Amino acid sequence: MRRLVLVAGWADSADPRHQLVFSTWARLERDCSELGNRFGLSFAVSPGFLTALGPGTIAEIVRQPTPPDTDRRIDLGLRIDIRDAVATITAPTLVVSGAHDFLVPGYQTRVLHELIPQREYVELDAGHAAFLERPGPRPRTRSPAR
Amino acid sequence: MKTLFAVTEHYPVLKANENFLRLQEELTSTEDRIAYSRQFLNDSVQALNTKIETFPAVFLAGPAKATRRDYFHAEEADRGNVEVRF
Repeated sequence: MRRLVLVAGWADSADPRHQLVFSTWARLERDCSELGNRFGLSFAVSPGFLTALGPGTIAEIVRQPTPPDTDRRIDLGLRIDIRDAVATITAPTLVVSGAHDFLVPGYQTRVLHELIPQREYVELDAGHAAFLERPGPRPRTRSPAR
Repeated sequence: MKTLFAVTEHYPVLKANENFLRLQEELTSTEDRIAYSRQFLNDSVQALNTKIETFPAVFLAGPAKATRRDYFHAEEADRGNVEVRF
């Protein structure tokens, strides 16, 4: 691997807010797939992007069948701890965070960034689905805010 | 291409001809470009199929009418040696 781009990632799920969000999502998903969809969509994109979808598209999305293995993915999201592994990444890595990501906020992605030896960081005007909200050429990188 | 190169082994004059050497290079380059393009397409199909079934893109795949795509697969007859006529 020559280069790596990590979008909206995190290294450790122990953060209390992260546990609250993901455990709530898991419970909703287990009890009612539409509620799971409603919760997931609320955190998937930025508020501006979500609003721009319009009521019709939002209604269409929340009525969709639950994607396969969603419960397993959420459960995995509750148990992530890859701090040791990311420290061994040797490829130059671009870490991308969404300024309006409320699923994995920037403070979690910055922890991931700090663990990687050869790293660059960029924050996009987007939510968790940064690559969907801001497709196009690679943005200019900058050091993360402290 | 291997067949063509094997045939030239019996024709030293042809093998040394500059135009023929250029043709050999061009044919090899063309085959490489086809192989690269086929791989690029299938890599893109794999990335698309994975993305539209995983969070968060899965939510938007339906409204965007993004659906699974098939991999490119050349029929056996299309994978044979290129016929070169002079």
